[in-house]
Amino acid sequence: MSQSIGTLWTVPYQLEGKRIRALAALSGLELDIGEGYTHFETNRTPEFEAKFPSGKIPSFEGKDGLKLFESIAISRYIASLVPKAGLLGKTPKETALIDQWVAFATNDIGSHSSTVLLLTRGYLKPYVKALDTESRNRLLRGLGTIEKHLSTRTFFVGERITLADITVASVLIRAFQLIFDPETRKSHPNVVRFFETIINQPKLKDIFGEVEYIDKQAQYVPPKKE
Amino acid sequence: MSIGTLYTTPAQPQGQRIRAIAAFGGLQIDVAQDYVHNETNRTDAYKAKFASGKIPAFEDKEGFTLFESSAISRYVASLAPNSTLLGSSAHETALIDQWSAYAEHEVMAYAYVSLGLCRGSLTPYNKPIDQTYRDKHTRSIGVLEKHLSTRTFLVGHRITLADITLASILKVSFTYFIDPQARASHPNLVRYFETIVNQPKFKDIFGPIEYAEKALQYVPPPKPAKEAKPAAPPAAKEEKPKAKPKKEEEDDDDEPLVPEEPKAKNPLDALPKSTFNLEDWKRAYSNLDTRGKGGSIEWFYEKFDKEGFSIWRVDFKYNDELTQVFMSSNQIGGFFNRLEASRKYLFGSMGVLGKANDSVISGVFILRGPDAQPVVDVAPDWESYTYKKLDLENDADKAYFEAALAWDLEFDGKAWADGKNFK
Repeated sequence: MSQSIGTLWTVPYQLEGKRIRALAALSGLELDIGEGYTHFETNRTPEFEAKFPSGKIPSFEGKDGLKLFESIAISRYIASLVPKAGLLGKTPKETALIDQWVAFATNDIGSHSSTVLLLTRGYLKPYVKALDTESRNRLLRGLGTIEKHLSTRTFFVGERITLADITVASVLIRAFQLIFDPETRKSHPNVVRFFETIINQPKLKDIFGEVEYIDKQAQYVPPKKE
Repeated sequence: MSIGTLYTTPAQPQGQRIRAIAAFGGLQIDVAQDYVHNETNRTDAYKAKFASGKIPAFEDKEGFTLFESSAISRYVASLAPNSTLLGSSAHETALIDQWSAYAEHEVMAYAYVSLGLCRGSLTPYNKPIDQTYRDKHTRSIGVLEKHLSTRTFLVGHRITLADITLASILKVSFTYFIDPQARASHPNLVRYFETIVNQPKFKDIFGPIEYAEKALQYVPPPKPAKEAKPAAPPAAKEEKPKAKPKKEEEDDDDEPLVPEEPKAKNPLDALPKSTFNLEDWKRAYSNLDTRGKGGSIEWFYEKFDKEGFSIWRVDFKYNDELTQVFMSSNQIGGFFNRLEASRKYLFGSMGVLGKANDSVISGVFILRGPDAQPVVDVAPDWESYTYKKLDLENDADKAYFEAALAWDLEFDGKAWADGKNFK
């Protein structure tokens, strides 16, 4: 009999989906991945939108009927299900600090690397170099902040892995794909060490998968003219 | 007993959110009085406490420090005894987290990109990108409209953290992007917003709401002045920083500070020195009677330099839209708030004349330089008003000017009902 806590709607490459799956794995919880999901099709059906008004993924449907969207909310909910896994910290203040780093990762790292991705891949048009440059600068500032924080720590909050570490690591995957060229890796040794520690945790290795290190930062390549 | 100190600025929406949460939860939170934005937060001492170097930031009495508005909001809400802010079940809490996150990532994030582009604080303006983010914002507003069509509150039957979060964010949306047409097509959102921001426990924190008369438009920098004055502002006018009235609204934990940003020169500072000191005038106006011997009008005529400054009659263009006098008065207040960046260059005395549903907004500005636009276009809604240069040699202009200063202006059978000063 399946002990699954519910179904997660995501796609394999979605970083937020990996994050949620990692949290479930660390808590010893089983999570089903919704089958037959086709992005931009399934999530635009009335059935999907009736369950998840935002029409976006990741979305979670618990066995007990809870329907949730927004990766931060799903993550926090999953992390709260098994308190002894310690993913939300041991005290209210630790929990608050976890929330802080989750928000920082999302707002100061994730949002800027998303903008760089969207621009360089041509999903956000037109390509505006100033916006790409500004986003990379802001991303580097965010990375600088966590580099400093991690220079004296193994984990973001307390002495063990929490929601904060999983969130930051999942957000960093994109930064590693776009920005972490040899020079950036060299100037952020603690971020690299942290990242490798988290994604290579035995329970998480398969979820996060291999992250290839890049030789140079992602660049926009204009479409070839006919 | 205060729970701690919040570092923010009065206008910062995230700061208002946290203060409202504290107020609703019956908690006292102090706001750091000596915080100076872009100064205090750039010090090593501040960054040692708050690694992000941003606001809002929170410190309790035991030295526990926290940044990121969603984290502070949630922590403050958790301290409120017997509060329903975080829901009464694990499911409710999860849904509160969901809508709070939606408000931040699917409403505020998009609005801030458009705001940053229009103000030139993000990157030079790009219309398709602005439009892309406005479309995303519009979509999210539609999702909320639908959700709220059958609900009073986002989650359950009471105000929660999600409502206060969303309301603080919608205030920005309603001030800049949701125009009268969009308000008409999102009646549930408007009803919901009004319900939340008017809650007695935190109404004063959110303050009067200035609903957008039209969606924020990008206004390109003005062309160089027409007059051939020898020391007219040079072509550096293009570098004039665009519309930075309420920069605090952007310098939150979503918009990192840009410490190395070079300060663009304001061409108004390049004008030849004037003998008329605007700050002295503001003091005289405040401290002296307006009319009569020894009054501020008398002071003004002695000191005024009509080469360095100009006087303008300012009229609202859409007076038939005005309803209650206090709301029109609030509108002037909102306009003045948005002129904040030009404080050094501007004095204003404006009022509501007439009565409910039969009124006009009119007044005078004293401003630096020969043209109004360079001073007033820091406010996105400056074009909702007409500007007519006044000539103090002309009796009618002079009488109008004095009456607007004295708050006894009257015309077309409409008497001055309420006024505001920009000083």
